[in-house]
Amino acid sequence: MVEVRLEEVTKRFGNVLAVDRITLKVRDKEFIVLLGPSGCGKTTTLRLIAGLEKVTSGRIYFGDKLVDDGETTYVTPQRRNVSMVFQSYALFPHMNVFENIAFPARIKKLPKEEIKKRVNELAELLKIKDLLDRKPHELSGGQQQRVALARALMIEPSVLLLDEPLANLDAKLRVYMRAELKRLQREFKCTTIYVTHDQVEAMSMADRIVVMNQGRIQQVGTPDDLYNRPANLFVAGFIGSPPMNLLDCTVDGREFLNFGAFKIKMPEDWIAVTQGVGEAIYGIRPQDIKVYKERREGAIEFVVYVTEPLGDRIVLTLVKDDLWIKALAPPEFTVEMGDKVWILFNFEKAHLFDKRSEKLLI
Amino acid sequence: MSGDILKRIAEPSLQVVGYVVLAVMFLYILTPLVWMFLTAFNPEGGPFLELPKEFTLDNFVMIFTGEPIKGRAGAAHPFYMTRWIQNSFFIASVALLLVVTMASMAAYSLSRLDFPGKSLLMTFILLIGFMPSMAKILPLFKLCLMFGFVDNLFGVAVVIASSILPTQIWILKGFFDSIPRELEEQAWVCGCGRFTTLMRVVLPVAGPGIAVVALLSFLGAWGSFTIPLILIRSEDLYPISLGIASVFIHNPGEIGLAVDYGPLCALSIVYAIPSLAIYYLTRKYLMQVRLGKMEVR
Repeated sequence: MVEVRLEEVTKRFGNVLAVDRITLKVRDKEFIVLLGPSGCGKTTTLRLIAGLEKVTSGRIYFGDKLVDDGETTYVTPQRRNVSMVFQSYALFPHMNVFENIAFPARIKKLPKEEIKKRVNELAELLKIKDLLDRKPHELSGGQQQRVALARALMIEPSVLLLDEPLANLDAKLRVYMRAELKRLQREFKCTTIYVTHDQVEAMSMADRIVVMNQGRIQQVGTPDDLYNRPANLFVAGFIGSPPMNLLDCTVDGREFLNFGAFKIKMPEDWIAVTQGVGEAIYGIRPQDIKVYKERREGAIEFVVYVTEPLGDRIVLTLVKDDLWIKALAPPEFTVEMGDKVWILFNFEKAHLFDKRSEKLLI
Repeated sequence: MSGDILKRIAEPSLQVVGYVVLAVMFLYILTPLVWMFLTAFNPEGGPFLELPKEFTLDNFVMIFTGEPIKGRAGAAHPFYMTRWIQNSFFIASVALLLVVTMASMAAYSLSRLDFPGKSLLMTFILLIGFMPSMAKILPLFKLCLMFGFVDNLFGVAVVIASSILPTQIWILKGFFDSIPRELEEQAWVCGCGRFTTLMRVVLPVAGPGIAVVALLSFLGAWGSFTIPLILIRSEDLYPISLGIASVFIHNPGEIGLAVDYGPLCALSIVYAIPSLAIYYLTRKYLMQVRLGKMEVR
């Protein structure tokens, strides 16, 4: 159980810059999730921490110990005392489940009795007790995943590294394992770094989330931070489902936002911040848009383009001229395609981003 | 409608034609084998396919003892069956060991390491493998003279191994390529060094591939004829392949140069048994081979 620190870590593969000057501190016993689209450098970051790749420049510390500085110091994965679960689980096909789980302990030459006891405990905990004699190819995806997890927990690792461990499971199992994993992490109290591209997974499990894009950290924060205070346009668009509406607009005069198709008057606290800003992007989540069937003071008229009922709510795609937005409505809100609706934006929950720097203004 | 009728007539008749073709091919392939089998157990076997009137093991006894059968024109040349089998086994086993050790090391490094000139080296290995061994026999013979490999069983095994090695490197490389790197990385994270990883993870996982290479090199060496023919002079160093040929040359039967078919067929059966046995023992692995791809989960 240690704290992991990355300082200005950069990794290049030939001309490709995979990880670009990342600085990050993972606290002891923390569950941190690296989140980003494919190719954003999150898996490379994980492999750098595991020692499967060497940094091009920068430093990685486990506690106070320098493990990689790209020059003189490089501690091999064998000696970092990490555990890793790969996306493919990487179970050894020639060993049965028992031997797979016992493998790290066998390599570390722990006493046989102890190994047996520990494997049985873990198998009990992960509900794979009946499978110990089977070979990996005789297991379902979910079972394989649990075996891989048991193997990772066999020795007490300094850091537990998980690379998209739920990606190969079906939707129902994924939701179940999400909760299981979170419970296990709390139980074992190990520092955990978890890589995923699924923002729901990240939001539901993490203590803190690191959003990455194009090799860089976009924002580090709690799920609440990322959802309610996205640092930039990328985070705003990436977190939340259905995603935030991001609308081009200009600050018009002193107190209006001009969307082309319509204008809205800004509240007082916005006016102070937006002075001197020209082009901007207005971000509002679908659930922060109120939709009415009747005309109403200050509301803007839109036409229903398509409705997607999800049972507990309806996702509406609305259009005005060439402006498209998504809004949420309660299930009893029945409209047909082509109907007129009137919408109000909740400015309390809305954000404004600078168009050029893509940074959050308000 | 008429199309349907055509279909109804054409499909079964096509099937019949197919079966007839298959049956003819089957007979064509099987007849010589049946003949060989029948003749081996027939006291009066000849070059014709006939059912034996009596059943005998004399032919087998004869090839192993070298004693001529009573009442038959004696063999002009003795059989040294036991010795030939020993020689063949020696050659094939040594070749197998050499090929398996060298091919697995070479293939693993070609699969996992990157170094300048790698693709050139691979092409070179492949080219050498495709070159018929007879095309390089002259310089090879010179070389064998220098090393004292002529009339030397070990030398023959080395030369045969060298002719089998290139293709086997390629086959094994395919196997190693199909083993996900993540398995090795997992082993490293678990604390294994490179060597432990190779011994405990890579080689066991590549087991079927290695079994296939072992089988192919054993069979290749067991069936090899030309290389022993060129390199071996003393009769007591003959492998079975040369032994059978020597029987043809030296053991004419009753009528002029006709061959004594009974013992020869017995010889051929004995020659074939190890190949079949090895195939039978390794069939489990052979079934796992899917053109060099393995299912590893």
